[in-house]
Amino acid sequence: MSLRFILGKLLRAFLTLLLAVTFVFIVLRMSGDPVSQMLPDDTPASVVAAYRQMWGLDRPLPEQYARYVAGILHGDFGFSFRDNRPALDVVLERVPLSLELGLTALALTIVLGIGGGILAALKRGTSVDHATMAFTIMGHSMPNFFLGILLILAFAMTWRILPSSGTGSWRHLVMPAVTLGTSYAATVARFTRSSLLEVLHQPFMRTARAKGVPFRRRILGHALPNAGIPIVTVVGLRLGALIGAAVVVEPVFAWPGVGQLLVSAVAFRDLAIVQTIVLLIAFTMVVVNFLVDLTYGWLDPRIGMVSGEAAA
Amino acid sequence: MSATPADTVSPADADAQRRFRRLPVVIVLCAAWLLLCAVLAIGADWIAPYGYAEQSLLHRLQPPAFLGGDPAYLLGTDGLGRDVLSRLIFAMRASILIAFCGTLIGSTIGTVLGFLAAHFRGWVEDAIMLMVDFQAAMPFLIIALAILAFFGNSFGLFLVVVGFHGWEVYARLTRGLVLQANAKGYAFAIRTLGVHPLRIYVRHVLPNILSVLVVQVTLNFPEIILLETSLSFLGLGVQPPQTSLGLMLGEGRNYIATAWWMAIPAGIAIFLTTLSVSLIGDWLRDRLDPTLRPAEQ
Repeated sequence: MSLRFILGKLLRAFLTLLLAVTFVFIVLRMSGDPVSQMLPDDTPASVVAAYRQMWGLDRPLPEQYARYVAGILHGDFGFSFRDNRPALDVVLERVPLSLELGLTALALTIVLGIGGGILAALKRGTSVDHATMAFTIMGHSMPNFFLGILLILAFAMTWRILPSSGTGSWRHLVMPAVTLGTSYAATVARFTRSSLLEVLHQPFMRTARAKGVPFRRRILGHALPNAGIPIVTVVGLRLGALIGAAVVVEPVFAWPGVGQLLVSAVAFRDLAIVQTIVLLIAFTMVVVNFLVDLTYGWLDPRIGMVSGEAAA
Repeated sequence: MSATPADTVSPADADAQRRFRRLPVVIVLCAAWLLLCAVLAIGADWIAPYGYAEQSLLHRLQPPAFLGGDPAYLLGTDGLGRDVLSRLIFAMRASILIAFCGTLIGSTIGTVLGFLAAHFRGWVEDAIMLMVDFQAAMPFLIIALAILAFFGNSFGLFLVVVGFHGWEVYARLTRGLVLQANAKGYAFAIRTLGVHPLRIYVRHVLPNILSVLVVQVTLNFPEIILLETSLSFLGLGVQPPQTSLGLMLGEGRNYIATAWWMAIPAGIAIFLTTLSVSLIGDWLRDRLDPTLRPAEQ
């Protein structure tokens, strides 16, 4: 992997982050004067002016922007008026629980999605294949919040074998993780199947077979690495969808993670919390995309050699 | 294919018939469901037995008629004594209308930006593609939530926000297709005739790339339905007393232990609609893009 390739990707990642910060700044400034929103309507003009001066709102916009970016770089994401604490602290507290849920769903996705996709491709045209494809189509169309409600209705209310909400044990994790992972697994299974099918028909697979390479090694050693790029792409790109889905699924199961915090912050218009979460997610996505790009270069050394554009 | 003299059907008709016969049952069912949705959405005011906000507190939480409830309320009533069937019909109208407008907004903006990027190249293209990359990197639901938080919720804003979902896919797709088309003989030939670029794009290039864009619409439409219903489910989308399929599910969730019929029909309606559009889209894609066949079949 050439250094130029990595540097190009880093520059891209930095630009994306800057764009995210700029987006939040513009939306924040366009949405109205924070002073008049926080103070009562009958506040004397002098008090309003004092607040505006204190927060630097009387400065020219470029200066406000520079101060805003500098603040972000120093970890100043504003104050949550509901908790009366720095927003970053409030958000970071929730991260471990969201990670626990997200990583479990991701593991489920990789096992079910990639495993199911491989199985379907190898048993193409059989009932295994049809069942997998039916699952992918259903899983993709099912709204996750509806799936969550159905699971609660079945496993928590009718059969009473799993808790319907809260955290604390692995039993609390089962339903949220399944709900979150289903649509993701469906997409991954579908991509794995089709990209593996494409590779299985390549001449080098026939050559390997003619040479007498055992079946297992043909699949694991020859087919999968070559089918890997589309699979890594879809796992990486759809991670954003997984984060978005977590925002919906967490409230369904009263899972006190970042997603639930975001929804309540939006409802109460606790803007500091909202901007912190948006920037945190933007940062996560940029890191994930960067890692996906590096994985490309590792899976297919040609990509890292030619230029950054080849990976796009 | 040669027609015998006895065969009075013209080749074109025979072709159409053969195609129709090959229409899979599933696709027909999906189309029928979407048609039903369209009829319900258009005729909601006449078809629904009650108004969507009409309350009858004496008939609160009635079970559906097939579970021994009052036959006047086919799917039962909710916690305020409103008819679930009527609300379902109006909710379908709202959700489908929003998804329809949203698809129109996103596809138009994305396609136009794609054309602009391919036409001007240079910094215009770079700027548009940077925005595309940024949008693709950020989960759209998060951006939508942020905008609704910063600006407060109103129906118009909600519609626009939902509409922006997926614009980047159209932009990227259109840019690539237009670049391809510009390199082809027909676009070059018309350009040498001195035809205005706008006319080339609208009259010649657009019809050639439309089929790919239509397939993209079938992928985008279910996503917009899921986005709208998700936001409404969280209470951050369509606001009461208006209703949408997501909002019905969100309201019904609190009664799930005692009155499941408030939520389940709305969920099934969302599922069937997204499923139908997706299946029809898959089928269309297989027909329009023969290169996918070896891999997909």
